[in-house]
Amino acid sequence: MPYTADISRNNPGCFLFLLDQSASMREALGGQPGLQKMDGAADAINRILDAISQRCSQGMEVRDYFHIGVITYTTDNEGNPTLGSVFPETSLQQPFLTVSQVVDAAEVEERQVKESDGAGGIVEVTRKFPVWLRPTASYGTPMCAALSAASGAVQRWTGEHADSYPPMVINISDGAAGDGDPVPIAQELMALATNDGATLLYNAHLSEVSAPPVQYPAQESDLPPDEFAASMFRMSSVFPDPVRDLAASMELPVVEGSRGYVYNADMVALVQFLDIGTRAASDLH
Amino acid sequence: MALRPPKRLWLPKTGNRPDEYEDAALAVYPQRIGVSGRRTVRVAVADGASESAFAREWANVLTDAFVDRPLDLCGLTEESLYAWLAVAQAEWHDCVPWDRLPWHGEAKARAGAFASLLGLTVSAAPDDPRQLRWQAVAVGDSCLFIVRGGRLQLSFPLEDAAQFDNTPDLVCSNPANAGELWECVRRGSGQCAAGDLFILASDALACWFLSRNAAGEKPWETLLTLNASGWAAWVEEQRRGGAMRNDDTTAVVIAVA
Repeated sequence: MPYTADISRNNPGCFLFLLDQSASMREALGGQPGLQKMDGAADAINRILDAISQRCSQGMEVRDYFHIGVITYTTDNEGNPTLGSVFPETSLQQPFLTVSQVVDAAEVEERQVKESDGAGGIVEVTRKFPVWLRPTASYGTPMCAALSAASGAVQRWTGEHADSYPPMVINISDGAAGDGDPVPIAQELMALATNDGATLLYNAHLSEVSAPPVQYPAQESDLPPDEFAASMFRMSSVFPDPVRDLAASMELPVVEGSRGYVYNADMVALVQFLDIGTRAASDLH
Repeated sequence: MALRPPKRLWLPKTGNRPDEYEDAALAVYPQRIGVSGRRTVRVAVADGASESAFAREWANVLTDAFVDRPLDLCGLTEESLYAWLAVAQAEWHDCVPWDRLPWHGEAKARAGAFASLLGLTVSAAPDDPRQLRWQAVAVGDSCLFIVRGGRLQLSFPLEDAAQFDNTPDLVCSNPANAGELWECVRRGSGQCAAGDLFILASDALACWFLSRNAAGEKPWETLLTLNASGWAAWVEEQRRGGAMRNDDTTAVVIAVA
């Protein structure tokens, strides 16, 4: 049965995040004034990298259960694609670090936060916040180039990890690809497989259109009237059964055939999306 | 009636190092149980939850506490349980290098470590020192099996392989997260009979044991024949064949003569 491989240090999992840094990412996230999409997206990715690091943390050390990459995409002022691999000493061809290397790459900030004191009161405490990604946004959306780069990296990874849980690729974008039709390129990416199943591609579509949010639709008739929504839906994987069951247990609105696609998510929904998108429903060994 | 020395068998998850084994099993075995009427055999198995930090330390603290500081299972109350637990929680707290924790380990350490706990005592019956009486306490999915007369007499606290899931009850090292423990405590007791076999097992082995028993086999016979040298190869074979989950695997086997 696919999507059941144990994730272990011998057979690690793989996450690849693709982040659109085009100009439209300066707009408000989920209709929330004061929070730009680029800030929300960077914050959400930093949070999920923190959460993955903590999931792999064992006291003083970190177990390398995953390989993780982050690729950003925008254009220069002439429309030429500008792609970047966020982690140090990585490249578009090999964007991945192990979790322990990701941990080492973090800039750790200390922030004052208010927490419950456990006795009905609130106390202010200093907590550490790791940061890998800073928000930025300008120019165009070369999504096809980003998906092509992802395909190259994932193809290499699946070739080297044939028995691993399949890679999970998560794309956060305004959906308005400026360099062609992304669907065929995405389908090539989604066809890359390990012995445990095909690559999973999930999309958070932060549209320029102001339409109500949609989470995890199962059919195109569920989509909002947005010219790019159908493309983004078609290039989103159907949740494997174990992942859908997990999402249901987290009280997310999933049904049979739900895809890893959210439209115009607010910050809470975006973080939930990244959380479920990075949950293989298997134990970590 | 007397107990034979306990046989302890353990193996880490495939892919993990021995120092990453997060189960713990400990037994104290006085030589003259049942003769003096005062001595007690105490055995504990704990299974640290890998998702939590310093779980190995917590499992060891719990088993040490169960055999070193007897918990009065007859007169167990919510108050006496929490008082006993508070000492163990303080010991775990002292194991954690709080001032050297990396950022990724802080939140998990603050939340505390989690572990199942199974404790068994065998002692002379108060009214008849020639008879032995057993008592057990359990939180979670580490199980006690008693085999009598060639059949499984007792399975405690779980009775069916289908009851094993990813959300067992657990004992937490952080008092703030251990408030509902009393509702999760299961207790059992009974008389021993000559020829009884007591088997304590952490969850992967316990689930295998109940599956094989349900299939009409006698899984205790396998455990009786295994020794330390054959155990690892046998467990690895079960894991490879899908008969046993790849998890830390622990058994303590005690025979009543």
